[in-house]
Amino acid sequence: MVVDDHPMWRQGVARDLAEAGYEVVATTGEGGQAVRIAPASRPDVVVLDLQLPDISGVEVIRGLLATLPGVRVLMLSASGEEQSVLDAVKAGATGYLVKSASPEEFLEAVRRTADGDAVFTPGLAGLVLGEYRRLAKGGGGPADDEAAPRLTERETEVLRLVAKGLSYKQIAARLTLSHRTVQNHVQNTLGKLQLHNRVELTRYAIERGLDSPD
Amino acid sequence: MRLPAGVAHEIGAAVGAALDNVERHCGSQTRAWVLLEEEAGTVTVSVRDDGPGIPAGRLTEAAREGRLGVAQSIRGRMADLGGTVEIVSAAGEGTEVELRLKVTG
Repeated sequence: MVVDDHPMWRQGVARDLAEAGYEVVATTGEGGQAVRIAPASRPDVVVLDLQLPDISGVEVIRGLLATLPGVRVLMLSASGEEQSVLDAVKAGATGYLVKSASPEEFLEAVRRTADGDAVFTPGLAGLVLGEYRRLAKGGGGPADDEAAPRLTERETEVLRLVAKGLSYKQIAARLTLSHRTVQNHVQNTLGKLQLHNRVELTRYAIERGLDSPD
Repeated sequence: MRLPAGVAHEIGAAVGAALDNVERHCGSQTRAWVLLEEEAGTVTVSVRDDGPGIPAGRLTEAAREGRLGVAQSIRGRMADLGGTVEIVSAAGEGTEVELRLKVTG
């Protein structure tokens, strides 16, 4: 499914996907509509522009995952939207690509997202690193210190190298790990952040419920 | 973490010098990445490129010949701040310049 509010871009992306052998089950320019039609069109992968006119990327991702828990989300955005990219990752997106990427890079990202790989840009890796450090300092809320997710030394090492622009292949060679292991480390960094986010949201909801007089 | 303006300016200038080096010595297809980190009171800025890399011995040779570009603009600035510079490079592997500064308080 392709979700982007620019018709020419949307059509171009859908055409590239179709030419590469993918079945495009739906295209839309609105996040709300994407959420509504997803249960019927059942996409495996949603290519999502983070900047939509109606609802935020985070809301789209939450809505999609609520009805299609296994759906993979590859987000696209112009550069310089750090916070929204990070929020989208925490909400459950597993792939990120800047819109200036080449068609080959785009198709590669779709293929890997469909396979369940975490698709990172160096910029996203830097953001994720920063988020872990912020959470470890208790920047995410009062009770966060203990509950804060932590990266292992190896995960930190791998994420730093991604942030410095090394490919998984180069990282594998430098750390003498297999390509698959590097991928797993990167995936885990997202998984822990997403899990933490879900726990926080649940806790917040429960606290709100308990606090409310009715 | 907040740095004094003078310190931030010097680190910025050192990063600029590292990027100037990439522009001067690498081809136009070369990409460069800058990663800024802060952890446990240490600021680390890494500037990495995927250019041809610096052949072993080239930097010491340049310094001996009195060409102090890298030495002066990067190492000199960081030394004045009390920080360190690590340059890792190999032919074909790009170059990575890592600037570190421990900031107390």
